[in-house]
Amino acid sequence: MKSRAFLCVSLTFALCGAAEAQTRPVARPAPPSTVTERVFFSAGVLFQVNSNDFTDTATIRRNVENGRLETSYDVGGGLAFDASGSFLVWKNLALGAGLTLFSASTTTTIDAQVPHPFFFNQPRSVTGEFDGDRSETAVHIQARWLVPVSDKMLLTIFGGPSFFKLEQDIVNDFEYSESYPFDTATFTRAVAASQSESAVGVNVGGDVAYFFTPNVGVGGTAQYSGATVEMTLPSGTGDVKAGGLQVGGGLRMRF
Amino acid sequence: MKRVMAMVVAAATLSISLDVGSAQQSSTLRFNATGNDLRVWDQFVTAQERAGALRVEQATQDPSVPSRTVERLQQYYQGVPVWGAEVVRDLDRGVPVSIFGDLSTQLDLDTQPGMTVDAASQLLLSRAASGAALLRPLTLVVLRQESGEPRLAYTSVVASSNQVFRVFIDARTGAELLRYSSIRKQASIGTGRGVIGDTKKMSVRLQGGVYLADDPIRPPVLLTFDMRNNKIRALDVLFGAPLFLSDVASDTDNNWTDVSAVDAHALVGWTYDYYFKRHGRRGLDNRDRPLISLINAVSQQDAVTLPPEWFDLAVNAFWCPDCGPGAIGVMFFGNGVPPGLFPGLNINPLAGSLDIVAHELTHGVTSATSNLLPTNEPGALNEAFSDMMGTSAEFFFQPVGAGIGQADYLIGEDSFRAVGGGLSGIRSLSNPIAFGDPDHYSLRFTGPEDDGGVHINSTIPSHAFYLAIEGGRNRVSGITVQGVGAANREQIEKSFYRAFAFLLPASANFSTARAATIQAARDLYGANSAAAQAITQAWTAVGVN
Repeated sequence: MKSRAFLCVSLTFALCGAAEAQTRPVARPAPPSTVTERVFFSAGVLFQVNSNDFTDTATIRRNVENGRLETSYDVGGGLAFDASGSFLVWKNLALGAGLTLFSASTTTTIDAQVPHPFFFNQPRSVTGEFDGDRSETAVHIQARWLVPVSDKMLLTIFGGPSFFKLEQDIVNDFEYSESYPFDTATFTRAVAASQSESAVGVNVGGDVAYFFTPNVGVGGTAQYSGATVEMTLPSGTGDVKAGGLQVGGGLRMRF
Repeated sequence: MKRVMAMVVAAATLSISLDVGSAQQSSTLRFNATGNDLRVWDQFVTAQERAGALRVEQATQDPSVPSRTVERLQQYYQGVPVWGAEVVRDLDRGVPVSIFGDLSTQLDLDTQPGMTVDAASQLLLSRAASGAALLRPLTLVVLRQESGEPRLAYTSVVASSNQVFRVFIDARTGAELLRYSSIRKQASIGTGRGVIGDTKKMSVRLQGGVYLADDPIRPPVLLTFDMRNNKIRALDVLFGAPLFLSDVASDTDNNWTDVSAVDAHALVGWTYDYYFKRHGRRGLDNRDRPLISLINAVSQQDAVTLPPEWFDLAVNAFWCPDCGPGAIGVMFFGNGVPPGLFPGLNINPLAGSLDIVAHELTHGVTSATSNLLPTNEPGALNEAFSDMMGTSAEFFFQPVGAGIGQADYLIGEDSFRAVGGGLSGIRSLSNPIAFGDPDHYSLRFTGPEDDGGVHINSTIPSHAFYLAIEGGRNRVSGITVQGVGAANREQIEKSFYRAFAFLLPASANFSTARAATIQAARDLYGANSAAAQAITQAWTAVGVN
């Protein structure tokens, strides 16, 4: 729902520009083919559209028998802070860097099969949930191609590598209570630890900015920035997705 | 003299620091006064007691030296006990003989908690599993941490499920400072290979680097003692000699290889489980009377040279309610004989048969309930009930079948193995005549042997038990019984258990057992229930009216 709203904002900016062009066709100067400003900043809020759910299934050893620990991480979308700056280096090409910060609560569902202390092949089912945290920090190196639509509207396409740092609470184990005759066991708590890993990914996207003043405006962005991060999970190392499709908008500045 | 003076100085220093200590890190004062310095330390302790820094919490008459009184004094800091800080003063008619102390000095902390007792209690419980309870009142204490920093803490014992912990939380922030188990047993699950070569789990205890056949997680004491092929020792124990920790069957790596130890320990546990799960019974006396097993009294090789009067120690298993230290009651399992000693029959360790183990434990149940007399028909009912429950335990845990380790209506078939095509086991509930036992009352043994045929005639009621479950036609009477079916065997097991454990008098005969089991089925399932009808038909089929 929020993503749709941001797209509408972006489209509105585009339509505003178009309407202006139609109402004053004669007075309107030809779009400048070159960019006169040299420094560009943006800051705003993005909505990470996709979820990055992941699951791990590990073999656990309890009561001299193998059991199973399945952890399913529900990593939904959410708001991210985004900022970038670039510097015009040649014609319409600018080079810059960006930063995206995303954090969210993650619900981990724990579904385990715990072997019985007295009998083989009579596992007990233990289920529970753990509320953990996740944060993604992405630093983007961007080449930005600036396309001035009018003196007030600027279209930008960009892309480049992204450096992701993912911090995620990982459930490594769990505790349960049980009592004689031990035919059932009840989840008591998850044993989790925050884990931080880095990976290199990509970012690519487009931005439409409308400037109210020569230097200040608003804009809308749609971008993909993502990476696959290798984390240590109970079963071993596993791939965890970070980032994804993000849309949003915010303040735009140029000098 | 110099030493005494030094003590006086130390005592004076301590006295001041106990009262008005100023450092954030406390230090520990340990003293063991048994000689010349006793007087000084006694004066110090007395002074601290007067100042309220030490309080006598316990004064016990020393049982080993009647003239002695042992005082235990707890250290307090501003009215709050310092956890584990104590002085123990041994007095002979009021005169100190020894003083041992471990106290904190230079304590400096605010003793006002930041939360109420109720709030702290709720906090402790909220962190435990649902259903948790505080086993001790929440107490405010000064906790001496390993770092030396004293902390004002609330402590209690929290029990949730089978876990019992003493927990300390910071009395201001609620942060957990320390937790340790209040259960002193270190449980461990091992594996072992039993008599028939199957692998079982062993619930044992780790102590001093050795795994002991001491089940710490089942409710009763469940111990298996290894007589290490010492028949004299075994007899001594049966006659009341004490058992020691060194007698407990043990293993160094928790991968048990002594087949008798594995099966006796595991299968006694299984039988306890059967009674608990099927009948809601807590062991022998329904109050978790200890389950003690003796194994390895005689090795198979030594059995060859045993005098006949001792042969039972090799080829038999039994329950002796008055045996063992303090007449605790003992189950005994022989190890059998070497293969080939008897033509056509190998006798393997008797603990390897679940029905034998459950049979012996059931004798313990009987002696705690109906206490059926051990001769003639009451004795035959006693043996029959043990066979019924032994068979029922097999069907509860083992897959149905005719092979080794499978549930059937043979007794002892996993230990008494036929060689060359014969029938394994010692009795049959489904076809008693296969072992020469009667399957009808008209064929009952009436001689004096076997205590009036207690084992021989046991197959008459146990065959009725079989017919009530499985149905079928009695070979002698020709009467066909409509059994409840294997899927409903629980009804017959419960009916017979109710009758034998609750309704029968000690001198019950077969006719009484008939009436009691029918009544039990009516009680449980209704007068016209399939169970009541099947049991009625079954007794009639075997000629008991």
